[in-house]
Amino acid sequence: MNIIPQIVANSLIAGSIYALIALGFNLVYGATRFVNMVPGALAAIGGYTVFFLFNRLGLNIYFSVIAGVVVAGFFGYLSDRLVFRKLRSHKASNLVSFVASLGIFTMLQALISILFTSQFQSVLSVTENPKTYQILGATFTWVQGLIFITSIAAFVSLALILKKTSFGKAVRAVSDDEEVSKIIGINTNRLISWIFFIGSCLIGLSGIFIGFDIGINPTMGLFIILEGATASIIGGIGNVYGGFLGAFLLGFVENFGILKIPGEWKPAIAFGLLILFLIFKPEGIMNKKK
Amino acid sequence: MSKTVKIVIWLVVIVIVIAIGASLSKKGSNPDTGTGPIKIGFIGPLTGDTAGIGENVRAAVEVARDEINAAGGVNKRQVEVIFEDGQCDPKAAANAGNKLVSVDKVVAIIGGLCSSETLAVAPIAEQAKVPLISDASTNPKITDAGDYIFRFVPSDLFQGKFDAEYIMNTMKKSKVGILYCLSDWCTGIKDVFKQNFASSGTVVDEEGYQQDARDLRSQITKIKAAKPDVIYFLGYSEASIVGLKQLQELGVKTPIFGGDAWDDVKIAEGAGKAANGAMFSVTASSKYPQSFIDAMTVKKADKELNNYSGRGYDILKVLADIIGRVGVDSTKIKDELYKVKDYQGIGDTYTLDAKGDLATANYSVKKFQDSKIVLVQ
Amino acid sequence: MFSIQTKNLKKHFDGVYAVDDLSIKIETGQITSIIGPNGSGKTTLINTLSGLLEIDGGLVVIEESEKLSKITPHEIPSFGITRTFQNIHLFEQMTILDNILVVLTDRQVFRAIFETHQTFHLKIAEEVLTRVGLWEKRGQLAVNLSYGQRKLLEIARALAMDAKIYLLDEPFAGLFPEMVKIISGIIKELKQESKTVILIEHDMGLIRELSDYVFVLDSGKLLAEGKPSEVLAKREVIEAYLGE
Repeated sequence: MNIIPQIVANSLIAGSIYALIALGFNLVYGATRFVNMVPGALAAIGGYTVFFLFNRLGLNIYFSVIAGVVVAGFFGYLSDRLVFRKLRSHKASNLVSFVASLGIFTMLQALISILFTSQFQSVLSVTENPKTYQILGATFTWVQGLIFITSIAAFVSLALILKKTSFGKAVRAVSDDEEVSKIIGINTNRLISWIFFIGSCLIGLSGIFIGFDIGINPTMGLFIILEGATASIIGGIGNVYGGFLGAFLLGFVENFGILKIPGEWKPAIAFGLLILFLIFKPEGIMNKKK
Repeated sequence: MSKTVKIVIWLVVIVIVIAIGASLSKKGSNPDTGTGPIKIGFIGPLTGDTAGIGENVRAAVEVARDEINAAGGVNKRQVEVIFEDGQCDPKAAANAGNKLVSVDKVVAIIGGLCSSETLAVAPIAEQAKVPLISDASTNPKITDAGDYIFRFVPSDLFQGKFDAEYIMNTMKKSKVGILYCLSDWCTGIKDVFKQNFASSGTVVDEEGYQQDARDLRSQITKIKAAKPDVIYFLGYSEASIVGLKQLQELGVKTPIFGGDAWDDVKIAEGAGKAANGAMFSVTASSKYPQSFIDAMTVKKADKELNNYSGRGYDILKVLADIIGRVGVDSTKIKDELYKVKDYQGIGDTYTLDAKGDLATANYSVKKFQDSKIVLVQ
Repeated sequence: MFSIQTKNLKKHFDGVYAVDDLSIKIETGQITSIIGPNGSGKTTLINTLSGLLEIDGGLVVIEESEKLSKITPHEIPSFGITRTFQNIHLFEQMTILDNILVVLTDRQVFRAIFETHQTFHLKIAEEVLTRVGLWEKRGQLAVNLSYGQRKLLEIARALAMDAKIYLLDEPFAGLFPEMVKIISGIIKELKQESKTVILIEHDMGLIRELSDYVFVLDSGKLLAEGKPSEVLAKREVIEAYLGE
């Protein structure tokens, strides 16, 4: 039996999740220019909100997902409003912002552990056999199909907004040069808050999808940041198209890589790729050398 | 920098210094002086992976302790058990071991549960000459871990052999694909299994995964492609739930066989239909006496009774008996442990060999069915 | 009427006063030059007036009505102020056209998500870019332009703001004579349109040619003011420049 189609399917699914993370991550990085750890916790917040509403309270699943996305977006917005905006106005260095984000990330994760225990939880019901589909010899569940479609849709929407709308131009302007943006009348603080909200929504969604596909636990954030940051750096940090590309590249390399290498080396592959890029092409695929 | 910032920094520094000073000067307990409660330690996973099993053993030890104390204690002294969370992680277990030995100055330790815990605590217990008796760690390496290291559960030398023979002779399968976690317990059994399976079968593929990995699809895809007629899946609860579900998702219809870590109701409930039909070996246990089951029901631990709870209970009872005869000197306790022969506990009948291992082992086979665990043979 | 007036304006960095108790009045509809040796505080003054630096003391009065002790940069367009930068700040990764279009957008976020640029936005962009001669190159990325083209783009951006008051920080620095002509032409046009232009400049010839009024700064203080011919002949002014 040819396992290539299955590996391709696995790669696409992994890539889709990484893509959502990278999209959110890049959006925020473009505007703020420092490595932000908070998205890791936001993914967990998204996943746990859905778990709480859907599994514990038994609410409708569509409502729970939307609520999860919004809650994650809201926490992201809060982090900017309460912490990062102040740091920006004091012209804090990137290192300081990074450390602050690490603190917030740790705090939020601990909060989740306290509220929900550090046990791994499944989100979707296990009494039903998941509906699976077969295409060209590859099997996947409807959840995985949904993830793939959603991430493509998210990417296309974001790309369109950035390219075609005024809002998109303003976002690109702020990422490019915050001072000039202010001079031409853009309220950069308010815009950045919006960017945080939207980016965090995307990341919250990625956490929810991971919850559906595998499950959630409070420390899932670290994994998310590592994969998301790797995908972003490979594709070109701050570049929305790059992040998307990098995410799928990462998914493919990870899944095809273990054809030859023992399975437990999977995380090492991601890091290996990251290091290769940092050495030879640090600006990533899509960015130009500065 | 501004004055306020400087003051804040100094305050933080002062607080940190005081905190460090306080923890350094924290007085440990005094070693056992012959009066006051007898202190025995316990290390097991109370959080994280396998916490389901760990919490259940803890409840059983508490039942034993309550019975002992209700009967007047040992040498007219109450027994106190100090429970520490090993998290099924070597680092956490080592920290717990250090604390029990240096700060609490226990006379013996029940634990670890996971092999990784026991192997991490063994050198600490050995150096401090404090007997360490495991209720569930089956990795073969523990046999030679030290003079003060014991276990009331058979080494996987027995289980790996049993599994291989069961699969070859009873299930009549000859091509196995192995999916195993990279922990001491998994790799220990896997190696023994392979040695025994080689006699009349082939290992068509073996794939490892990190103990905390939650996406085993790549490994499963490769195993599926190697066309085994049985899959030997070694893992702890969380990875097993995920793995069983993913095996089903990827359309794997091959029979699945696992190890004794699967004796956890959480897996049956967590994996649901995906686990139907999957079988696993467990150390054969006598049926628990009703009094024990009732006592566990009071502690709300009756639903998740597993194979090791009884052993934890038995270890504390054996220790109480030994201390009653020779007192709290750790070396004397250790010597008496080697003499345990045909002790009939509620979990098993125990005879220890010269290395502190159980001399014999019996296994049964259970399987998952409709979110429950049932006995096969 | 005065476009901008400063009253005892102060700006200091770690105790050193870059703008020291400065009180000047800038007339509407005129071209005013601010000159002085390096380090005299000219750019600091512009940065303070455009809100990029905080005011440490004194007031700024805009069109004799707004009295401000604090200026937020993204509000200056609402006062009709725009500026260019000595080191040229553009949106490097955006095209020439986008650099202009982004100026013309709706500032209300929700509306902006759904707004795409209408034809009349493009018309304005075309006007402005044609004026500086960059319309044909509108698809190029800003980062790929030559030095002179970059300066022209910044001017075009300022024009697109349709401001009343233009703060131009060394708009002619490093340019070939042809470019200089284009820009000085634009500045004169602005005056004809009754706009106020405030210029920081070093070239004496251009100062004489363009300015209606000149302020001379030295070490953050006002050294002299007046019509160009008068001011440039003053001994203190000459000494300040020679002594730098």
